[in-house]
Amino acid sequence: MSQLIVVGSGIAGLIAAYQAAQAGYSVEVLSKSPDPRRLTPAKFESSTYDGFINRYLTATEGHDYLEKKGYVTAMYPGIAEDFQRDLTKGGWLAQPMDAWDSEAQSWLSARSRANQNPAASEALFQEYLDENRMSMTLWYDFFCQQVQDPTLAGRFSLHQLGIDRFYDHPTLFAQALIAQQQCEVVKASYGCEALRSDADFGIYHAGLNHDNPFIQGGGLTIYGLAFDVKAFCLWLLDKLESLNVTLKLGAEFAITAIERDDAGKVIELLSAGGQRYSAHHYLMHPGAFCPNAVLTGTKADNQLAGVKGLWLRIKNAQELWGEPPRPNKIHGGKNQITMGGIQYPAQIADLNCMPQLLPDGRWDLIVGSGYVFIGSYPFTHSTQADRLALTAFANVVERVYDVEIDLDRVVAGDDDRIDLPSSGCVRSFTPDDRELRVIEPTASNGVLLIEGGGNTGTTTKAFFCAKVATEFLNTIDTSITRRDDLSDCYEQIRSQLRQNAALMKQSHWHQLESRLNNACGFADRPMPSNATSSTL
Amino acid sequence: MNTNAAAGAPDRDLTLQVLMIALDKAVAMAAEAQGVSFGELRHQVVYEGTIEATSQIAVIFSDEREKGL
Repeated sequence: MSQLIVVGSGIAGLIAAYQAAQAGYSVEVLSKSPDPRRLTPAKFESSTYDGFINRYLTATEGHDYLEKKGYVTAMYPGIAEDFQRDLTKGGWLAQPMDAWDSEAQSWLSARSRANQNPAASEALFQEYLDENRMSMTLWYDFFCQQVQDPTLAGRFSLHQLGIDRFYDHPTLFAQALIAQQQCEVVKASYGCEALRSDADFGIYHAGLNHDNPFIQGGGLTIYGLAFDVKAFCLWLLDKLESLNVTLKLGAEFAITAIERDDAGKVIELLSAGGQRYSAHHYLMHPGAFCPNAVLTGTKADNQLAGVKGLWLRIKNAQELWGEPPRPNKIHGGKNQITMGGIQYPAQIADLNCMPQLLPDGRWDLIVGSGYVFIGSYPFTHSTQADRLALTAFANVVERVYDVEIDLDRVVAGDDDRIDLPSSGCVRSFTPDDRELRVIEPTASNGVLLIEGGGNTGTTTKAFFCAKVATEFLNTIDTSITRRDDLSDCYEQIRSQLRQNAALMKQSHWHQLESRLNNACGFADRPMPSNATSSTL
Repeated sequence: MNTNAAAGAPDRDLTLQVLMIALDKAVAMAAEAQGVSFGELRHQVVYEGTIEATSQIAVIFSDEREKGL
């Protein structure tokens, strides 16, 4: 019997396994996803592998999309109604409310209730900020240790000079700047004039100077990292094997049920291959692709749904713009959709933008966007919803990059310049956007902990959650008496670990970035002054 | 033509107006306290995004936003 079984081989599961193995646990990883080192190309049902290239680690990554008084609500008014209406009516639902099955309707009702408590949303947002900042510190530390191997920074496509964020409206830009300053994570700030004159943002010339420019607000550079999550996971699987972690990856290892004794305590896990797996502790990381039946009987039952995002690739982008841009996000409120001569209400128009360097030194530009609620796994929805979201997204890409997009040709795969590099990615959502943290006792006085499921912020928060889990298991194992207050114990550990976030001033991030620059062999950069800088 | 307003969603322009009012009030109070020009401070905050200027109004702005939204 292993001391610890980790279920799930996405980024959160693998980092949890790594942290637990480092802490001395004997770890076994079970996952329905195939081993990505041995199968290419393979179809993955995993948000770690179905997305594209970079993940961003920043203080505000993966924050909740709920009604509150902060800048999220101001940027996207009516965010609560987005989960009540389909895309043809300006919402996120792939089909009308009454077309969903009872599971999805129940999830949507829970979401509606969560949106009626703005005070809880504000507290949740603050918790995200604190935990993300704690986790970012762990990520910086981790990369500083690991990139002593000079090949790794390149292998991970590590970008360590901060993440740019652009805003479509001056007021939102000012508000976002104030909010992120309060987190002490702002490196530099640029009004539109500064953006227009800065050679680093040449690719955004059209988005800033168009007749109806999309970026009318300004831009920030905030401390943070970006890296290729798939390349990172390939490397991490090797690392886990070197730490004697047992990897059981593939369809036969899909967990189909949690078995309990007569007292309701967990005794083992059943797999699709008919095997039974038992351990002292279990850490489950169900993402959007987890069948709900696995979680039936736990508090995680019917808590996970999926929201689909889409990707466009502008090929040979270096021929259009020369130097690759830094990874960035463009926040764009809601923009109307025109499709087939019909105007539909607006869809959120955020863009995630990143260069993909090719082996020959050229680069493509990958742009992601789209918000399509597709219910719980297995997902079924109409292609019209995808097409509407893709149309809204393409309209914005045209305005930002001054390219013409013939979506019929792109979708058919007949366009030489632009394609869809994947069929999209699915983010996991819980009704209140807070990650799962469900705890059950096992018959062997251990615990089953279900974590994860928190939108795209799971990657940012992976190290923090893994640290909480490892300390929690260690506390359980070293307690002299049996603990009956498992959830309180877990939340206390989690709360203590996020307490130091308030002490993380701008100099903290500057020091971490400098350490990472040095570890990567890059020249150090001066500490930014408190005044606006457009030269960083 | 469908619009967000027609579909019952809050109007983004109205939300932004409320924010702008809160921002302007915060800028006015900070400008008066520091004896600097409202117009100059407002330009620094909204159009230049000067970190120092936005720091000066941050707390007042948060309070004003709370009242307005």
